[in-house]
Amino acid sequence: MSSVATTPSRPRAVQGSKILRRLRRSPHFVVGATLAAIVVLAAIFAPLLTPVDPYYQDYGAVLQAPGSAGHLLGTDAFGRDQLSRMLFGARISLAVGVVSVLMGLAIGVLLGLLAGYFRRLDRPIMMVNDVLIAFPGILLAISIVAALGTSLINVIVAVAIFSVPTFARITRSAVLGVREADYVSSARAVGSSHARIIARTILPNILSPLIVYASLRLATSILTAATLSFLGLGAQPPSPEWGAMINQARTYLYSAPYLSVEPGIAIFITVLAFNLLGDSLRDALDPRSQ
Amino acid sequence: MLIYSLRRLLEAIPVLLGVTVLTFLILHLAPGDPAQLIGGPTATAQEIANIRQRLHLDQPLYAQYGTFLWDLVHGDLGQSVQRRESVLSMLAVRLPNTAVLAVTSMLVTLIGIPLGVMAATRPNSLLDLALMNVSLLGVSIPNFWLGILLIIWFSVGLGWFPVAGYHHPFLSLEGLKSLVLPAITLGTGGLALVARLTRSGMLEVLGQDYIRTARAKGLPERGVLFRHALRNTMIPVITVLGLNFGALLGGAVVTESVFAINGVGRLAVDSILARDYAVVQGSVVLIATTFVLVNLLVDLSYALLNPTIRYA
Repeated sequence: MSSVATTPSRPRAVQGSKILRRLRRSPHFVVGATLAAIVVLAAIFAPLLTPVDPYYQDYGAVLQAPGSAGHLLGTDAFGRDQLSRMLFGARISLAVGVVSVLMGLAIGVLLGLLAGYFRRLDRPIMMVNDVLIAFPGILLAISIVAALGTSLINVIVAVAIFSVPTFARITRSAVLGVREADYVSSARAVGSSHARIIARTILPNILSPLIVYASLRLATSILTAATLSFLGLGAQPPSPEWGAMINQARTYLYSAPYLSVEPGIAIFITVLAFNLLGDSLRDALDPRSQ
Repeated sequence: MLIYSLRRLLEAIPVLLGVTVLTFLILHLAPGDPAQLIGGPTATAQEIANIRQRLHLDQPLYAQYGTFLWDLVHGDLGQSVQRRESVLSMLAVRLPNTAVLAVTSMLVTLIGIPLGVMAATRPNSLLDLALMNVSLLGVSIPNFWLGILLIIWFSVGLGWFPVAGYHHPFLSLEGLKSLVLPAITLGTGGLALVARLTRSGMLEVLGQDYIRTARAKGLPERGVLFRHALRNTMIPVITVLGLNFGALLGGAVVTESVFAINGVGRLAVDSILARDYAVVQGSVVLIATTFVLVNLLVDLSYALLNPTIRYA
């Protein structure tokens, strides 16, 4: 089978080192990677970095302004340390984003591969896909949460399903682009099974757009999950999820606006980081798109 | 053109039907007994059986969907369990508020077109760099948070705009002031996207031979930019505007909640929290149907902008 994989007519894969060189030269990549690294490290080392338990309520220190003794980013209405909650919130946001993107990617890619490869399955799969895409913005995710009930796990499921149609569409169009390529025909000619052709010949050749979209989708998923929690449909109090924290802080816009501003900055930086990474990956993998 | 329009209209019907099927299934296959939910914890078995019969919940799923669809095309979206009010009349009261929000936000989004043109005419200038970086920030900012920041700065801090709600009539100073912050909140993401897209489209078109010819003929630069270049950039921009209208409708759910606007989106969220499924179903079908129809109009506008599409 390796002879099929190295058939001369197969499009030449862009060299890994070339991609890395392009990425290193991209200011968007450097900024995005730095910001993403900060968020990931904050999430991993949250217990070491936080001065206090994020759930610990200190009624002697409620609504302390940022910079007050022992509370760099202040405290909320229950006296909980805002910095600790934001660091632990990074864990929730990243976990929700990564798990939902992986779930959406797995289902979407499978459907896209089936639709693109088997002509008979194309129409029914794409019809369902078109219906899913017909739900604007986060309405599909909201409808799914409506059915499943409000919880963080259901938000992950909803955000994953919300990602499926776009992954399926991107995969299908990429498969259509390579389905009749010589190297696929060669794989068929040597008697490879459909499953083998899909997994070993087609999938590796359509990974670039999927990687790019997955990184951009990570940003969207984190944002969608935060939005659902902000609406009260996702993580519930006392969870230190950033969207839920902003929702709870709305009552204190006059007296303690920092409670809304700080978690918002965290969401913004995280989403920006993955958007920058996605943009620069796209430019590096496909320089024509610049 | 007529045949093209009819074909696109026919193609939209299965999608619209699919939207109703999916909305129906999502809410009917949800865990929990709707009859028990409506009856409340104190309802007797007989009362629950009566509710089940009244709402056709004792029928098979396909028959329930048939009844739902029949009622839907006859304008009957059912009754709100919580408010004992017709869902249609609840939506009718709120729809104008959501429509005004979507239209004003679209106006904010359209500012992206001149900004994109300005950036494209001075590529790599300070203005181009600033516009494109700001637009990247605009795409990444959570719109519910942007709304809260605007409230903190302009309503709480400066007192320029109301903190929440709409003031009627819209065409009054107070009415317009109440629209400014929600429209900016909802329109900023689209503005950033449209500015980036217009810029890249314009840069591509400005390098074409026919633009060089137009300039060589001595046409004024404004004519070259707006009559020749921009017109040929518009198809992808209109596609994004159409898709963005969907994002506006979805985003309205969030913006209405931030600014306490009595619209369809906020009604949907409140009904989810109250588990008032008939209202959720009605709101979702209304928003999704509007989105499908707007995309249909966008598709038809392509044919007007580019006659070759009609004959494809």
